[in-house]
Amino acid sequence: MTPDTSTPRQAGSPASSPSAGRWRLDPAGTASVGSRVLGLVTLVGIAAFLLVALVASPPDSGRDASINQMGEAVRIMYLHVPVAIVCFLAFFVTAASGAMYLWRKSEGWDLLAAASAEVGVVFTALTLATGSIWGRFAWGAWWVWDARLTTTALLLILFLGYLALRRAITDPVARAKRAAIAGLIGFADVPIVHYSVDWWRSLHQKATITRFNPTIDGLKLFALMFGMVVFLLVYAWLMVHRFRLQYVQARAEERGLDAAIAERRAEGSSGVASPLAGTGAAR
Amino acid sequence: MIVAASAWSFVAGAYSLVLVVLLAYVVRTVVLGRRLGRNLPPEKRRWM
Repeated sequence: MTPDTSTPRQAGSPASSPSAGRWRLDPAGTASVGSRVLGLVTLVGIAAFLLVALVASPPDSGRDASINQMGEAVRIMYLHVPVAIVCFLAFFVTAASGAMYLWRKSEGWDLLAAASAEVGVVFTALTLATGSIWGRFAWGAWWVWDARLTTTALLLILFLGYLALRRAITDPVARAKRAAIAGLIGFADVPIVHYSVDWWRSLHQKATITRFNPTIDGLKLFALMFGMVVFLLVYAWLMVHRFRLQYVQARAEERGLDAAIAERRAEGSSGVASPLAGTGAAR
Repeated sequence: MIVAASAWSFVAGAYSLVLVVLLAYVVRTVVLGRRLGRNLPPEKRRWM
């Protein structure tokens, strides 16, 4: 159960521990049995989603068409909407974890916030990209300075700033505190993105699914809801791994700091701390 | 017919983009985790 990590290749060899094998291909990695089961379920879900979204669901035309009459391009919505929902969720988790950090001062909340922000940035970029493709088809332009698009782009910039802030500060406590505040400020844009189509005149369509009155039905609605479930699974898998990665990075930072302190102490105790002593006097 | 073919190209572009980006992100996450994880003592890997 405790693989030897002193030699990098040995850790990955099948014979390094009794449990190594199909489920523990690399014990040094961030995977566990649970995360691999989740990954497998997610892969099956993605395959089923592609079948439903691209093959089984009908185009948005004919008698049962939605008010938007998107034709085959409605399939982009099955992708675009779930990706956008996950992006909102990711930033909600970042903000909530940041608030929990400010309250409890526990490293775990900070790592969770950081992991979710990274995943959120990827999903926001995908939201903008898929929306842009849809816009090119529906509106004839890759980009318009529409309220929904502009506020979403601002959201991406805010959380890129959040990630840049995390990289800029080396002290873990100061970084966690400032990042938590930045995450809460960044999340303030999420409701603005959501209500932008109601508050301002917008090219972007209003919500497809309201609480009791969706503007699509049947297989199209099923494809959309199924897409949401599948992308939530993708988010969950990514979060498990990114959180563990954050944890590994935090421990690596600690080890680096400990090594630097030990080095400085050794220098001090051996009497070679002075630059002059280190050049001529040592020889 | 031309409109439908054009729509399918947009659909294919969107799905390919999302799948490729997510796959690249997953691979990067796994590879980075394995590389950094080797420096972590086994007793500190709580998930194992």
